[in-house]
Formats: sequence, structure tokens, C-alpha cells
Amino acid sequence: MRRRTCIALIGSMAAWPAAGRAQGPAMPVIGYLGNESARPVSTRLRAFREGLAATGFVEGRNVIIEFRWAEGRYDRLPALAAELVEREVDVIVAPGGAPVALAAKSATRTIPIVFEMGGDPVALGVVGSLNRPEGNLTGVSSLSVEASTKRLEILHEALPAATGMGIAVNPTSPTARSQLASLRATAGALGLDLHILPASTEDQFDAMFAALPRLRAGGLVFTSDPFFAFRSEPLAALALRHGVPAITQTRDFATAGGLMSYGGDFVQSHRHAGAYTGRILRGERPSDLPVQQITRLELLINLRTARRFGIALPRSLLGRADEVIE
Amino acid sequence: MSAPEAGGATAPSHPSVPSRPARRMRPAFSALLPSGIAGRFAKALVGLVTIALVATGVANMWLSYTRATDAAIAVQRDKALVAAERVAEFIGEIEDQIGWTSGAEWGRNDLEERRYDLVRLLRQAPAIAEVQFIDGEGREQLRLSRLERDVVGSGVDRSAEPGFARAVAERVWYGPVHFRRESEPYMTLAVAHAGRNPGVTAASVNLKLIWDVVAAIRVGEGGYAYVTDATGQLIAHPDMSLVLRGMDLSNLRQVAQALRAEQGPVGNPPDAVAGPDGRPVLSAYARIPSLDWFVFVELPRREVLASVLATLYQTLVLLALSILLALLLGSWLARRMVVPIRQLQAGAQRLGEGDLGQRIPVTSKDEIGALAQRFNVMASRIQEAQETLEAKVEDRTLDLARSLDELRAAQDRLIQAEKLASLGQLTAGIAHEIKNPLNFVNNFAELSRELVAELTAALEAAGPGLDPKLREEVAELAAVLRDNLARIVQHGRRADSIVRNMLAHSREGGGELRAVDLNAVAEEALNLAYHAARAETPGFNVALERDYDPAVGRLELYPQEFTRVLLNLIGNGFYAVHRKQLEAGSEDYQPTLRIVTRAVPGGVEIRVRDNGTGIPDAVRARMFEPFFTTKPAGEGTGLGLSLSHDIVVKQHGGTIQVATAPGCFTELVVTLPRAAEPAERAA
Repeated sequence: MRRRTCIALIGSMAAWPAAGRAQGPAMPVIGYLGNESARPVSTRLRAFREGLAATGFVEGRNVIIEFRWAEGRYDRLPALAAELVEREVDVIVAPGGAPVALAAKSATRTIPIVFEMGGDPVALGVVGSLNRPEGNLTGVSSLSVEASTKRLEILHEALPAATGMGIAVNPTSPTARSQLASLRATAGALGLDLHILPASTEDQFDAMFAALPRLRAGGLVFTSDPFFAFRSEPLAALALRHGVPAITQTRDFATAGGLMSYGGDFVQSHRHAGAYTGRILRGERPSDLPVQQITRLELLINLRTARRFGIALPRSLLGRADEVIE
Repeated sequence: MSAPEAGGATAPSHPSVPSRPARRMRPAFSALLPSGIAGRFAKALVGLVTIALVATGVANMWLSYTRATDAAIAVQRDKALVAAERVAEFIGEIEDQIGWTSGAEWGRNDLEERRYDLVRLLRQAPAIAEVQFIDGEGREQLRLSRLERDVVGSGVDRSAEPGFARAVAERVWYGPVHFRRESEPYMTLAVAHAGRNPGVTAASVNLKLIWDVVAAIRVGEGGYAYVTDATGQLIAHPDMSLVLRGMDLSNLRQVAQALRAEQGPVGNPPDAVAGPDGRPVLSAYARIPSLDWFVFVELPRREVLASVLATLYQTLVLLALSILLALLLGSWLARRMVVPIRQLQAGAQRLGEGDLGQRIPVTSKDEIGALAQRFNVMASRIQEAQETLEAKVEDRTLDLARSLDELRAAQDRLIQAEKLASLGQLTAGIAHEIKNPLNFVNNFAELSRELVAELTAALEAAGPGLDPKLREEVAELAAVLRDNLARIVQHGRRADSIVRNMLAHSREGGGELRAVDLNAVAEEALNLAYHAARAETPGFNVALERDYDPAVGRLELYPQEFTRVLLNLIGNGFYAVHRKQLEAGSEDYQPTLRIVTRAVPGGVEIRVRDNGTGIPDAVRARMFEPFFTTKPAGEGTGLGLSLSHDIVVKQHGGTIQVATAPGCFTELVVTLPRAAEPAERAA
């Protein structure tokens, strides 16, 4: 009797680990909070997955990604973030700007959050410091917001005759005010009149472009904002249709026919975000991971569009361009 | 009542139940391990192998560890030098690119031209975040940034800033590493222009781009390189987050050593140290002289140990295999050795138990084989000895049995002799006492007979004077008296003869011992006996056969006595044939008596054989006893054979034996020793 019990015990001991292995550890889940839909961010997603793969995670094989798309309606972000928290994901990825990061931040204080944004995360109140981000957030800053004054300068250099510039701004953006302030300072130094053109929905775009000739503005400078960034193609089409020389933060704009773009390399920033996500899944704490700034700012010039608009670009501008589309 | 009893009976057996398997286990377990010599042998072998292998393994591992460590350090030093070169190259390239704006002729270009050159510089050197041109007076003329607005001709006085002053003095100045917003590492690189009253191009370099250099350096699997400045501040590391956090590594041992050893271009701590992440590593460093930075190349010690661990694993597997092999070989060898020893042991035991035919079948040629051979030789010796001993014992036992038989015969003879001797003495005593009265009877009977004769004569003389009738009556009475007296005389004489014989029986050493011709004595006795028998029994007829062996010759004996013996034996023979003749009454029967003498080794044999009635067994047993006779009363005294026995045995030391078949024959054999010491004298 006792011996039989012993054998049964040994047998079950041998069986337990096997059963445990067969079941396997549950795959970690990444909650991906997107402010748009999958299609416009496909290049960014690819970069994110590359960064994830660099730390050994491949979606479907050893990690699951739960996507929540706000489809451009940023007011839905908090609810989507709450959904991810409820889903008990292992890490929340909040790319594409401050609204996403802040929505995620307000949804949880425990689940690690990796953000990706153009603005200064300290100024936006996302983290306390860059090198030692306290709490459950860390991420990447792409420098795009800081580059908005540079965009005004570049467009001015391309259009030295223009005395006024239109500034496209999304009034709902948390960085709108700071960007406008620095833009105004730069405009003062350059002796330019600024015409602020707010747009927070797509149907306002057309009116924005249409207003420019009436304002005698030589060109249109887009402030850094994900809402504009993810709508590069329609904006480029509008710019072409209205014959407006414009500059945005996203290279997509220049490749789609816009005159110029100047901003942080989002491929780099999303790749870094992917790498950080992977490291957090490996067990590192967000507070040990300093906020990274990308090193690369790129200037794209669409020379075809310039010729079409009859703009002769100076040598110094062409020399600065990282990519010239002919 | 019986149920509780049964329960009580089974209860005490309970405690032993669990121990039973254990008891069974123990021998089974010990059977696995060889015991005795085999066990010791196997243990010794295993022990030796283990010690040898462990020693080799430890030495091997130590060597392997030392070698691996040395090789790893050597590689790391090389890698550190290479990495230092690459980092220096990286900075050197930026410097070269800046230098492109520092030619003597560049100062003569107009400002717009210079701005264009700086724009191109920014375009070509992505690490430069900001660049400024300061003229010979120390005034900032151009300031180009990737993020800020470009400033042209601001005229800000920068002459006091080290970026200007030091560059003018040293042509190239590498500023200290600083961290923008305490995170991003930057360094100012200022290059003075050529020519008189030179300007300076100062660039703010984002050192994060060294990451590309550092991350490209591969050391082993988990090795890495990192760069610190002269204060031990981390500048570049494959994990950028460490740099962004602004780590001061000057308290790491290897960094402290590198910072102290200012002159050494390359070096390494003597042993494993803790890396920036706290894990033990092998570290080597190289100094970048131009920048006074240090490149460290580190390899986790675990990785170096991996090869050592592989050696350890190999050694352990080898050890296990060897021990197993040694166990198998040891027990095999031990069995091989022990089996013959056990055979020896078993053989010795069986030999000890008495199986002398036991031999040990050992074929080996070693010491055990020799031992077994010795054992076999010993066993056969013992067996031989045993067999000889048995034969001897048998011989001795046979001898003893014979001696015992002889002793018994001698004892019987002695008893017989003693019996006869005492009877003889008694007889002599009686004879002596009877002799005197018998003499009186005989003498007076004789006298009386003479007196009767005288009476008869007197009566005759008296003749007719007497009444005839009376005379007739007296004569008749005298005749009766005479007859009676004759009978008295006759029987008196007979009694006298008996007494004389009895006296002769007791007489000791009668006559003298002298050498006589035995054949002559025999012939004389035969004749004497024949005539005596003829005289006594008229018509007695017997055939006499004589066979004298002349080799008998003369013999020392008492002739008178021995003659009596022969007379006795011959007389008995005559009586026997006569009896048979009377009984048979036929003419066919021819009574025969045969006397034979023979010389035998050491003595003489006299045989007296008759073909008479023979002697029945009952008589034969007593025939030598005194007064035993088969003759009718008055015919024999019963002393003849007794007397003969005494004379032959006692007086002459010989033997007398009888061979007979009733109704057929009787043969008496007298044997006399030739140089006989008479038994009496010997005694």
C-alpha cells in the first residue's frame, strides 16, 4: 500500500513538470494604443516591430500585440487606454504624440508605458526627467516639436520674398501654445508676419489652404502635430491643388508632392520605442530606461514641386537637404 | 474465547513485518558490492583511477582556465586597441571634416559662402548638432543648428570661451564631455584656422553616435566595449540607456586602474572584476591618447568559464566512465583472481573434511596456479602417507591377531598343564598313601598263598590220618582260599601298577637327558608293545608298518620317559584296532598300525596312526585329562594319555596333537624340538 503510494507520488512528480512545459508560459501581451488606424502608420509599425525583433520578440511567436485604434478621434483615447488596462496587458505602447502618452498615463500607474512623441516629455508633464523617468513611463522623443521654428526658417529661406507665413496649428494639441510662442519669436527675428490657421478636423484643411492667398502669405508652415503628420497625403494633395509651398514634419508629405519636410526620423524613434518595449518585456523597469532622443533630423525637398511652383531654391538649402526628390 | 487468543498470538509478529523486506534487501544490496579480496581489489582500482583522473582533471581545468583567461585577455587587449583606434578615427573624421573649413583661404570667403560650407558640414557630419564660426577677434560670425534658428553675424564675444582660446592655442581642442539636460552626451570640438589671426570653427558633437562604433565591437558572445572619459564618466555603451543615465564608473576597479595608470596605452586588471552591470567580467582597456578617453572591452567571465566548464564536463563524464570501467574491470579481475582462491579454499576445506582424493583444477601459470599445484602435491602426499599407514596398521593388526591366537593357545595349554599338574600331585599323594597298605595287602596275600600251599602240603602229608571227608572239605576250602588269594595278588599287583603309574606321573625329571637314536627308540617301543599285546591277548594280530626317516638322527631326550609315551600311544592304537576287529568280526578288516618319523625344520615329528575305531568328538575334548578312560573298568587306568601329554609337553617342550575320524582312523602326532630346551627348565 505504502509502496504503491510512493510510486504514484514519483510518477506524478515526473508528470508535473512535463504538464507545466506543455502548457508553457503565457505569451506576453503588448497593448498598442494608436491615435489613427493601421494603414497610415504602417511604416511606423514596421519600425516598431524591427525594434521589438532586435530584443527577440516577434508578434505571434512569442508576443501578442493588442491594437486599439482611435481612428483620428483623440477623445476616444482614454477609453481605449482603459480597455487595454482592463485587458491586463504587460506593457502599453503609446506612440504618436503627447495625447496618446497622456491618455495611457492617466489610465494606469502600474502597467509600464512606452511613449513616442515629438515634443518634450518633461515640458508636457509626461515624465519628471529625461535621464531618470520616475513612475511607469519611458519612451522616445523625436525632436519634431523643437524643429518647428527651423521649419519656418527653412521655408523663409526658400521664399525669401514672402513677408508673411501661414502657420497651421491644431488647437487641441498640448504643444500648440509652446510651438506658437517659439514660432512668433523666430518670425520676429526674421521679420515675418504670421497668420495662424487652426485646423483640428480634416474638413477644415481646404479652407485653411484657400485662405492663404487672401492673407498674402507666401507659404504654410505646419506645426508638429500627429494629426497633421498622419494626414500627409491629403495635405500634400491640397497643397498641390492650391499651389501652396508648405513644410511639415513628416517626410511622407514631401514624397507625396509637398514642397518640403523637416523633422525627426520617425523610423528611428519607433524602432527605439520597439526596443524599449522589448526590454521592458524582458523585465527591465521603465524608471531604469532614460528617455531617448533621436539623433537624426531630416530635410526632404521635392524639387519637382519647387519647379512647378517656380521656386528657385538657394544652394544653402539644397546643401542642407538629406534627400532631394526630383 | 479463542478469537482474542488468536488475535493476541498474531499481534507480536506485527513489528517484524516491515523489517522483513529490509532484511531481504540487505544481502541483495551487499551482493552488488564485491566483498573480501575482490572488494578490496576493486576498491583499490577504482580509488586509483579516481585519484588519477581527479588529479588530471583538476590540473587540466586549471590549465584550461588559465589558458582561456589569458587568451581572452589577449584578445580583449587587441580589441580594446582596435576600438580605441576606431573611436579616435570617429572623432578624427569629424575633426577632418571641420578642418575642411579651416584652410587659410577659407577665411577670405564671404560670409554667405562660409555659411554654405557650414551647412554642408552639418549635412555631412550627422554627429554635429551645432556649429559656429568665430573670427580672429573672438566674435561669433556664424551659428548653425539643427534645431535652432541659424544666426549670422551676431558678433557675440566668444574670445574668453575655452572653445576659442584653447583652440587658438592648441589648434584643436576637445572640450569636456557634458550631458545636455543631464542626458545626452555632447562634446565641443574646436579647430583653429590656419594663417595669421585665425578664426575657430567650433562644433558641438553628439557623442551618442559613437554608439555605432562601440556597438560594432564584438567580443565573444556576450562581450561588449564601452568608453569613458578621463573622469570615468560613461560616454558610450552598447546599451545607450546607461549613457543617458549618466553613469560614473570611476569606482569600478578596472576604470580606476585605467585612470591611475595614465601612461599605459593598454592594460588589464589581473583577474575578474565587476562590469558596469555588476556581473563578473574579464576586462581590458586601451587609452585614446588624443581625447584622454578610455575604451574598455569586457567579456563575461561565465563565457570564459564555458570552455572550462566544457572541460569539467568532459572530465566528469570521463571520470564517471572510467570509474564504471574500473569497477567492471576491477570486479572482473577480482573475480578472476578470487575464483581460483575460492577453489583453493573449497579444496582445502574438503581436504580438511577428509576427502583426500580432492584435487584443484587450476590451469593458471601464476602464483595461485603454483599454490594450487603445491596444494595438489601436498594432498597426494597425505593420501600416500595415509594409504601406507593403513597397510601397516592392517599388517600389525594381523600380527596382533596371530599373536593373540598363539597367546590364547598357550594360555589354554598352560591351563591344561596346570590342571594336569595339580591332578598329578594329587594322584602322587594318593598313590603314596595307598602304596604302603597295598604292599601289606600284596605281601600278606603272597605269604598267605604260600601258607595255603603249605597247608595243602601238610594236609597231603597227614594223608589218610584224617577223615577223608574232612580232608576233602579242607582241601576244597584251601583251593578256594588259594584262588581268592590269587585274585588278591592279581588285583593287588594291578593296584600296585596303578599306584606305580601314578607315582611315575608325579615323578619329576625321571631318568637322565641324553642323545638317543629316535628311530631305535621307536622300534624298541613298537616291539615291546607288540609282544606285550600278544602276551596279553592270545591271537592278537596286527600289521605293523614302519617308516623311519634317517634324517631324524639322534635327539636329546629322556629315553625312559619318551619310551613310555610311545608304548602308551602304540598300546592305545592296538586296543583300538582290536576293538574294531571284535566289533566288525569280519575277515576283510586288516588291523594296521603305522609308525612314522620325520625330520621337520627345527624338530622331529613322530606319527602313530591306526585304522581303528577312531575317537568321537566328545571324547577327544577330554582325552588328555587324568583318569579319563573309555576302556571298561579294570582295563585302563585313565592315566596313559595324560602322562604322555605331560612328558611330551612339559618334559620335552614339544606338542602332541590328534587327528581322527570316528570309525576310520586315529593319528597322534608328537612333535619334538631338536635343540629343545625343556619347557620346565626354561620356566
